[in-house]
Amino acid sequence: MLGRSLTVALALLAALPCCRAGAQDSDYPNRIVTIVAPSAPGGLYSLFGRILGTRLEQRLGKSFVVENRPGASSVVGALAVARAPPDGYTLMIASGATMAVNVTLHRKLPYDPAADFVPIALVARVPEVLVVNAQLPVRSLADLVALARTRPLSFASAGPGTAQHLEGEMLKSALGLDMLHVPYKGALPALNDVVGGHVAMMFTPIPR
Amino acid sequence: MREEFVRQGLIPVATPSPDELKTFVRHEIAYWDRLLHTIGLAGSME
Repeated sequence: MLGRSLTVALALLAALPCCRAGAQDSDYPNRIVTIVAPSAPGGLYSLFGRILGTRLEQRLGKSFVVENRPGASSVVGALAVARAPPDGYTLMIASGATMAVNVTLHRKLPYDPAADFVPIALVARVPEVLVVNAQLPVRSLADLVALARTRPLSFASAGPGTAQHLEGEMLKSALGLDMLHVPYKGALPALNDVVGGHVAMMFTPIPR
Repeated sequence: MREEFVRQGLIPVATPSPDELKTFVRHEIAYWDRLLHTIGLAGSME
């Protein structure tokens, strides 16, 4: 889900077994459906949840409410969905971080992506770009690599284990660079500090 | 919805079936397991 070409895939999931009751009923949905976004408000999950929720409301005539459950690289939100009643009324927007990366990244992950959720749909990919502070003498990846070979650089991320973190680590590992990871609580404060020159660079999704 | 995704900079995709998605998830878990071990981040978080 976290693509090989710097895209992040977003999927819609439900707690397993979602079809035991509720979602299989002919009148589904007959009450509010919650779409959990396992990140802080204002991020990509929220954006996607709002787009999807609005369209589902129009089509099905019931409210689909986005609920942000940030924390621990999406573990808090994912765990809440895994523990929710498996009736199709609690859905989750997830990316590769939630569904694949966390399995190996965490020493003890309190949910099993393959066993605790039913994947419903893969719906979009998110292109990511590498941005640097404008004051740096960098206009290309080659410039960046050359600069990083003369002095240590820092890269920001939305938090440990996020796509931005892993992409930075992959760049660092592939090119043998000395780069310091600076994690933030969300993509927006990270991007703000890149703009302000406190951190040199970050990978960031294009949608904002 | 496709138009809204594109307007926001997202790339809409045609979804595989739920069964194919389960296989996809398993493959992604294996892929990232190998990669995270390679870059030394496996088990780096509580």
